[in-house]
Amino acid sequence: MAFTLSDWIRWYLSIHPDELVWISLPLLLLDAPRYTLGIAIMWAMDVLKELGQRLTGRAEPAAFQHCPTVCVVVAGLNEAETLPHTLASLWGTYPKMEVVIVDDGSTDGMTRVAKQFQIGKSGVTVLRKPRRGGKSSALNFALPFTNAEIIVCVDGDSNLNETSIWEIVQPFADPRVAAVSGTVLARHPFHNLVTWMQASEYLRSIFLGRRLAARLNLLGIVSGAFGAYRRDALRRIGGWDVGPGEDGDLSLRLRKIGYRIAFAPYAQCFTNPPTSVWALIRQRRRWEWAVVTFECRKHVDMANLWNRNFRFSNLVLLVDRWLYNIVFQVLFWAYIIWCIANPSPHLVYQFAFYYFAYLLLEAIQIAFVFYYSNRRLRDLLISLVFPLMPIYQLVHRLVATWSVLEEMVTRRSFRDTFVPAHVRRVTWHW
Amino acid sequence: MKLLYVESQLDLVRQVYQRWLAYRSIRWDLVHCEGLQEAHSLVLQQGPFDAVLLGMQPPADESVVRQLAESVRPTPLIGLSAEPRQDWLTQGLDEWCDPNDDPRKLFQRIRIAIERSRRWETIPVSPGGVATEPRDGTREGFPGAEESAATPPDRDHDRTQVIHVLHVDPDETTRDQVRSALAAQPQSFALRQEADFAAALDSTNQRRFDVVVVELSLPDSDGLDTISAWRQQDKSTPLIVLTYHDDEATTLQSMQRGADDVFHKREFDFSRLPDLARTTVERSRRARCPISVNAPTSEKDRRRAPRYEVARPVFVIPILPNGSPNTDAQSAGTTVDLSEHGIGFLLPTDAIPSRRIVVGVEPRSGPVQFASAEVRHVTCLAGMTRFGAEFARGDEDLFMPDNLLPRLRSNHQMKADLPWETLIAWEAIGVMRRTLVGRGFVCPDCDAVPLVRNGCKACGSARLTCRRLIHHFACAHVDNVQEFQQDQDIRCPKCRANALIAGTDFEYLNGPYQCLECGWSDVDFETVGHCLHCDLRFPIHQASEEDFIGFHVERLDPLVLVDPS
Repeated sequence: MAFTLSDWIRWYLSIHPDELVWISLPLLLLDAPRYTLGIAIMWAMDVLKELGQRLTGRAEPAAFQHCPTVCVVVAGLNEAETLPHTLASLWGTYPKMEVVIVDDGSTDGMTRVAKQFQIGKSGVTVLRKPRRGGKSSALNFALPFTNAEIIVCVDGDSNLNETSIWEIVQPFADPRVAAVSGTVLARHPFHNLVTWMQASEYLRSIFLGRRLAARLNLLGIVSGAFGAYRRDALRRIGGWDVGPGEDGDLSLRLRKIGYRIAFAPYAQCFTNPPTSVWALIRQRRRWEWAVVTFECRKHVDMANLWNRNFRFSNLVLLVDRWLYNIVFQVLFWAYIIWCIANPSPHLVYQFAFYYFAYLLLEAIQIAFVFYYSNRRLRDLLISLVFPLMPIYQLVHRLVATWSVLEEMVTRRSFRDTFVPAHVRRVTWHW
Repeated sequence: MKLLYVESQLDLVRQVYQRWLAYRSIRWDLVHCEGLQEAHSLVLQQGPFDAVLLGMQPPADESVVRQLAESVRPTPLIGLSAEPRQDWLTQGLDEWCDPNDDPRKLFQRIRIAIERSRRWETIPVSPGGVATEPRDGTREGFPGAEESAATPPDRDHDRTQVIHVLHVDPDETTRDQVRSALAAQPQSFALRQEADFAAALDSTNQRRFDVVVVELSLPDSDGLDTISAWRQQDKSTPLIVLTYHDDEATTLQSMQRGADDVFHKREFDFSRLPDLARTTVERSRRARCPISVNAPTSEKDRRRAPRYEVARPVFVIPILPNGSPNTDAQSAGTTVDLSEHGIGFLLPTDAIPSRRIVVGVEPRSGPVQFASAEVRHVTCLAGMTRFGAEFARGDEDLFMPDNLLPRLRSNHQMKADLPWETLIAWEAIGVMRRTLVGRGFVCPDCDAVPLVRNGCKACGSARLTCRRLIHHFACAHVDNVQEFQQDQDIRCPKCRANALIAGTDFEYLNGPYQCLECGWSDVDFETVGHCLHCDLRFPIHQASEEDFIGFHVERLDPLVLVDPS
C-alpha cells in the first residue's frame, strides 16, 4: 500500500468531524496536548500581565533583590577532568558564596584537582570519603561543614552561567519555598543526534514544563544536576535519602512537610547528557524506576486524605504521575496493539494523522519556547530537530513502560549499581 | 671432707658419729654445732666447709632452710633426716640423705652433692647487674648472705609447669618402672622414652627437655663416653644418671663429666623419681639464673678447669687503647694449651706491645676463630716465648655485642659502641665481617633516627584535629559522632535505627585535618619525621634511608679445637 501525502490529504478531508474526534481521543494519552494547552493559558496570562504592567507603567525591577549566603556543593565520583571547568564557571559569580567539594571515593585524583583549586582561596572546603557511598551520602557529608542559608548542588560535569546562582536564590525570598529547581540544558547539543534530541526535549519538558508545574504549585522534582535548597528545611528532614532518584524523593519529602518547590527558568546549568542510545536508556530507566518506588510506594501516603499533612496539590501531583507515567503508558500500548490486531484499511493514514498532530503540538510548544527564551537563536536551532521528536518519544515511551513494569514486579532499582553494594544491603527496599 | 653438722639433739649426733667411725675409707672431719646462728658464724670463722649437714631437730621451717642455704652458698646444704622432707629440696637443700643408711652410700651422696656444687660455684650477680669481684684468700667464693639474697629462688615455677622428661634406657623393665613412677603425677610430667643414644639425640632436636635420665650402657654408646658425648650436644639440660655401674669411681667421674646426679638402679627407690626430677630441674634453674655468663672467673676456677694440649696455628693482634688493631705488631705462632678460661701459645717474639689482644686460632676445618683475651703470663723459653692469656669477659671483651652491633644511643643515632673507623680496620684484616642488621630513615641533618608520625603538611606539627563523622548507610545520614552517641549506643538521629554496627551499618568519616599550630587545613596529612635530637621536622621522603651495619666475628669455641680423644 503506497503512501503519498496527497492520498493522506484526501483521506483527511473525507472523514467526518465526529469520526475525527474519536480518532484524536488516544492523543490525550500523551503529555503533549495538556502541556500545550496549559502553556498556552500560562502564556496568555503572562502576556496580559505584561500588557497591564506596560499600561500602568509598573514594571518589575530588573535587579536581583534577595541575597542570602550560599554554599555550592559539588559532589561527584571520578570527575577530575570536568571539575575545574565547573568550579571556574561558578567561582566569583556570587558575593556570599562558599564551595564544598566532596569526592565520593574517586580513583582518578579528583581530590588532587580540588585541592589545586583550593590554593589561595578562602571559603573552599575539600572533603573526601574513603570509599564510594552513593551521591546522597556525598551531599549529606557536605551539610555539617557549612552554615550558609542556601545549599546549591551542582554536578561535577556541569557549567553555570554568570547569573545562575543569583537567579536560583531569588525564589527563596518567599519563606514557604524550600527548594528551587534550575534549568538543565545540554552543553553540546549538536554533538550527535541523541544529544540534539535530548536538548530539544529538555527545552520543552524542563524549561517550559517545569515553569507550568511551578505556576500550578505542582512541581515535584528538582534536578540533581542543578538545584538549590534551604538549609533549615534540609536539616529538618535529615538531607537526602538513599537513591537512585534521590533528587525527586527529596522534593516530595519537602512538599510533604508543607514547603513549596519553585522554579528558576533563567538559572541555567549546562550539563553533558548521555551521548549514546544505551547510556540514555539506562538513565531513563532510573528515572522511571523512581516514579514507582517513590510515588507508588514510599510517598503513597500523600494521597491519604486523613493524613495530618494532607494537601490537595500533593494529591494532584501524585494522581498526575500515576496516570501519565503508568496507567496511560499501558493504555497507549494497549491501543497500539489493538489497532494492529484489528487492522482497518486506513490504519496507516490514521498513524500518519497522529504523527502530524504531534508535530503540530510540538511546533506550538516551540513557539512558546521562542517567546520565553533568553537565547532565541540557539533554542531555535535546537528545536529544528522536531520532525524526529515523535519517533524519539515513541522509543522513550517503550523504555519507560518497560521500566515501570519491571520495577513494579521485580524491584529492579534496588539491584542497580548507582548505589554501592554495602549501602544497598542495609537500606530500605520500598 | 670437712663437714659441718647442725643438730640440737646431741644423742642423735653421737649415734651418727659412732656409725660413721666404722667407715674409714674416706677421710672426713665433722664439726658440730647446735643452732643456725652458730652455724653461720662457724662458716665464717672455720670455713670453707665442703658441705653443711642440716639435721631435722632444730625446729626448722622452709624459711630457715632457705636462709641457711643462702648464707652458706655455694657450700652444699644437705638435709640429714630419717623421714624425707622433699619439699625442702626446692627451698635450697641440695641433697637429702637418711643418716641410718649404709655410710658408704651416704658418703657417696655427699660427695655427689659437693661435686655438683663445685660445678656451679661462681660469683652471683648483685642487683645492679655488675659482677662482684671475688674476695681474697680464705673467703674466696663465699659471698655475703646479703649479696646472694638478691636472687631468691622461684618457688612456684616448677609446680605449675609440666616437666618434660627424656628417659634413655635399653632395658624394658627400667623403662616400665620409670613410666609407672611418673604416671603417679601425670599432670606434672611428660615422659618420652628411647632405647638408644641416636634416637635420644633425635628427640632432643625435636623439642627441649627439662631433664634427661640416662643409663650409661647404651647399645650405641658405653660408659662415661655417653655423658661426654651427650654434653657435647647439649650443655645445659640437667642429666641424671641411673645405671647398673655402681663403683665409686664411675660415680665421681660421671659428675666430673657433666652429670647432675648419679643413682644405682639396685638401690634406687623409683617412687622418689618425681620429686627427684623436680628437684633437679629446680636446682639447675637456681644454679643458672644468678650467674652472669660473662662473670669473671676466680683464680681458683681457672686453675681447676681442665686443660687440653692443642697445637694449632695461632696469630695474635694487639689491641690499641682506642680499640683498633695494632697491625704492625701482628705475629703468628702455635697454640700450646687451651682451657675454658684461657689460652696459652708460643710466639717467636718476646713481647707483645699491649696486654689486650685478639687471638685467632685456625681450627682443623672451617674459618679462623677469634677471641679477645688479656695476656697474664709471659715465660721465656729457648728461642720462643710462651704467653698465657685469659679470655676477656664482660666489658673487657672486644667482641661483645654492644661493641659490634648498632644500637639506639642517647643521641638517637644507631651506632655501635666502637667507632666506625675501628670496625672498618678490623674488617680490613679479616677479623670481622659486616652484616646488614636493619635499615631505616635518618634525619637529613644529624643522622639521628627520627620519630615517624602523621603531621601537618605545612609545619610538621603533630597537633592535628579533624571532625569525626558517621555515615549511616541505610538512610545516608551524615553527622558528627556525638549526634549518634546515645547511652552507650550508636543511634541514628535521622531514622532512629539503633544498635548500629560499624562497617555493616555505618562508617566513620573524617573531615579535613586542621593544624592547631599553623592553621593549615587539608584532606590529607603528611608522614612527617621528627628528629628528637636536633628537633627538625621534615616530610619523610626527604629523610635519607640508611643501612644499619653490624659486624660479625667467628668466635672461638675452645672445645671445638680439642681433639675428641
